[in-house]
Amino acid sequence: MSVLYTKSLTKRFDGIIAVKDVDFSLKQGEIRGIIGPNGAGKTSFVNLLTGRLAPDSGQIVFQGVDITSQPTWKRARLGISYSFQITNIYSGLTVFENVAIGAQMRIQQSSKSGLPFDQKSNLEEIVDSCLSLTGLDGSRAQLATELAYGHQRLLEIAINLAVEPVLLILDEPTQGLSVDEIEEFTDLLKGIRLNRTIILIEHNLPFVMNLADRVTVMDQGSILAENDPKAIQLDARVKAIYLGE
Amino acid sequence: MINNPSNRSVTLHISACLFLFLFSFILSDYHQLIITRIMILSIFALGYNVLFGYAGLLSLGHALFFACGFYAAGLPIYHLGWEVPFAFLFAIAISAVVATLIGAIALRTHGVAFMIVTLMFSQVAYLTTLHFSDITGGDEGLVLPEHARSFEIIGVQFDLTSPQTRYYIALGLLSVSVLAVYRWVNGGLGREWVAVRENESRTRMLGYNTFLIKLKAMIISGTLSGGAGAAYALMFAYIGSTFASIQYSIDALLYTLLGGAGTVLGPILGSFIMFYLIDFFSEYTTAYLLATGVILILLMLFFPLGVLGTLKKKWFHWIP
Amino acid sequence: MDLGPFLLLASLEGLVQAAVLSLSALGLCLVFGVLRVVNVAHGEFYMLGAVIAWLVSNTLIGHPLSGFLLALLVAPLFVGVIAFLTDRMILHKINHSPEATIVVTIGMLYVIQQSVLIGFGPDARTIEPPFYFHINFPWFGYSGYKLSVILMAAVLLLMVWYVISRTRLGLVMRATQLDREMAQVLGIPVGWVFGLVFASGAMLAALGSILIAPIRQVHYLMGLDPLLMSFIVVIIGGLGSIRGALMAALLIGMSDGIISMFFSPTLAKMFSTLLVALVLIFKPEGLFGQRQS
Repeated sequence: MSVLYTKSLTKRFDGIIAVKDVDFSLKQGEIRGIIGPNGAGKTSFVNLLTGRLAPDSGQIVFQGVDITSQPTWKRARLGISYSFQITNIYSGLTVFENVAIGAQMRIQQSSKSGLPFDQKSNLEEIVDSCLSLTGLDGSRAQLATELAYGHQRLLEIAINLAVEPVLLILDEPTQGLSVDEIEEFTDLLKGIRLNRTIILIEHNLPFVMNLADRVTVMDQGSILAENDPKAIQLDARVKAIYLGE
Repeated sequence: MINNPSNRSVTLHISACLFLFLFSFILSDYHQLIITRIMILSIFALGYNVLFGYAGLLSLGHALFFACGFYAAGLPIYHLGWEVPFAFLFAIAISAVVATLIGAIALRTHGVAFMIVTLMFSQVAYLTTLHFSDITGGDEGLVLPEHARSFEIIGVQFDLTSPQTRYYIALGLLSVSVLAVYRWVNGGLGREWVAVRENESRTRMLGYNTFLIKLKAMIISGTLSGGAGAAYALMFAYIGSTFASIQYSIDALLYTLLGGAGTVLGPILGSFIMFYLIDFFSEYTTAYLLATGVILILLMLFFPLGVLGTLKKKWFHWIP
Repeated sequence: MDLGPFLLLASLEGLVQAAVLSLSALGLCLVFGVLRVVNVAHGEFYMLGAVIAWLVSNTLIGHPLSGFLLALLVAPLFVGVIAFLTDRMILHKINHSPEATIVVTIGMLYVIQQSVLIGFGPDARTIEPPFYFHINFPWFGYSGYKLSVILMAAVLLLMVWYVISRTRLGLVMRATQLDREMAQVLGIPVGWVFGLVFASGAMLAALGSILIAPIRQVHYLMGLDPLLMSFIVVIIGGLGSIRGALMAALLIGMSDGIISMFFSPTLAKMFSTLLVALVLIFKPEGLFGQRQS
């Protein structure tokens, strides 16, 4: 069953078509890589999913709900969580508070659906589990701005994990990381995938091929190919756009 | 117990209130009067700080809310002969409604536009009090009638002409406000405010309705400010347009910046410092405005965190 | 008086108002456009210009014209220097952060205003017009000086236009406005450009007040109204749009006189302020500006 699908999704900027008639479908629990050259429309496409952009036409359905015209924050409440390409954390707050903001959202959501919650202890529990998942337990009381860049990326992920998303969208997560850090990051993602559906937008092809169950290739606003990583690597059209770049 | 940060900060707040209580026994009448005024204006600054210090929204028009409570309490007493407690509650309710309306409109803007819009709304309110001077008394103002100088709650008689009584009422109101704000900013709502202040777009992406969060800050802030205005009008039995002027908006900003934005006790400390600083210079009006200007500039240049903010950052992280 | 001549008189008065308003609003607009900050002390620079003009023209004994001409030269320069120094010494230190700048310029408003009150006193003073002559229309006589105010303002506006669009300085300013970081990379001393623009903004306000001073009075609180009016003009014209600001200044200057004839001044101010706040909320690109993304 697909957790998310789009129907002929289209977005234009001043006459340039950024996203053109995209039909996209995502299975529950899969890790999907989205690749493509610069300007292929990956980021615009994802911004349409999160609601940061409004489409000109087309439809987005998430877990059976049409979210096409819903604002960003409502989509996030439904379970679409977006991790920013440029690290976007609360730099003036402690690591704990950063994650707590996400955790509080989760608690609010679940208490609305009627689950009994002891807020305070629960909040700390969620935060601590997210911090230990991302290996940030040691920096709990540090200010986010004092963290090393790689750790800030991890914090970004931890904030997203705290809201317990159904769909986690990671925009260029490996950008600016060292080779070692990318390796750790790969392990981390493998560790946290559990039942989550993840979209990875990446330039780093080996990273995507290593992690993704399926890969979507975008070019000039449309989907050029979609298959498992092995098949994509052999696809002549994909080679053409990457070699032609 | 005392080493636990949250217990420590509760202790700090309760002792601050207690200190003001004990202080009343040794004060001369003159200082008692001054501190009564300071405490009421502190509530105003406290409310201002909820919006500015916690939610990060810099309003230049909070005099509007102060004046709103001020007139909503004073006018019915003057024209309709209402009782004091009823007028006070009515003023608070009106302030909440006005804050909701102004918030719903003004929060469509951001940053500098928000500052200017709040300034302009407040200016409109000020001009309104001047224009309808047959009702409001305009610049000269109105002195509240004799029946409003005392009131009774459940059999207890309060005499508003007694400095002592006024002092304790002001202290009571301030303590309640401090504890309420303390609760809010240390709970979930406070976390949401800070999240919006630090990074609004990120907060929205996490599923928060940031507009609603800001609106809540606006309502709480406006209601506290209105309550302070109402208390001021009732205690000193006078209402006049001066209290709606931009000067009062700037004062709230000044107290908050000076004491430390984003700390519960900062605005209170700020108003105490300013009042006694001015009291120190004798020539009131001229010196006061000049000092306001100089201090605003110096604060922004060298001391942007204010007194408590700096203390908090350097040594006492647990100050809320 | 018949309607025709009456309208002619009203439009002449409106034009005088608009002329001065466009100078001071242009100053505010320029500063906002290039520095992206709102200068709340703008009205005080306006006031300062008139006060210094009064000092200069009063110390000079002789024909009022020479005093006026000297004031026209000295006062804007003095105001410009003060503005330049405040920009370099204060605004530069807070990185021209928009919010902090508003707070700081509120502080400057008080400092300038109260210093003038202490030094100059609370009384209103008058500056003698540099020349007296009346132009006689068939229906009424009109002050030649007022007409010359319109003319002088027009010349000044043309000069500003020339500087902005035809000189190297203007090019540098526009480059800084478009992309601050790029300008820095290109070797433009952005800090100095900011200082100069801030000073020019203040000087334009000062020029406006000097022109109008012989008609109105010089007073330490005279800066508040022009500040409000300039704000209104800049917002209606679309923040930072010079063309929009000039059109708005003309519209508002002209209509202000006419509106005040029908409403009490307080009511007129109430309505216009409310209207402008609503423009800022619902149509932030102004009525004449273009929407910026």
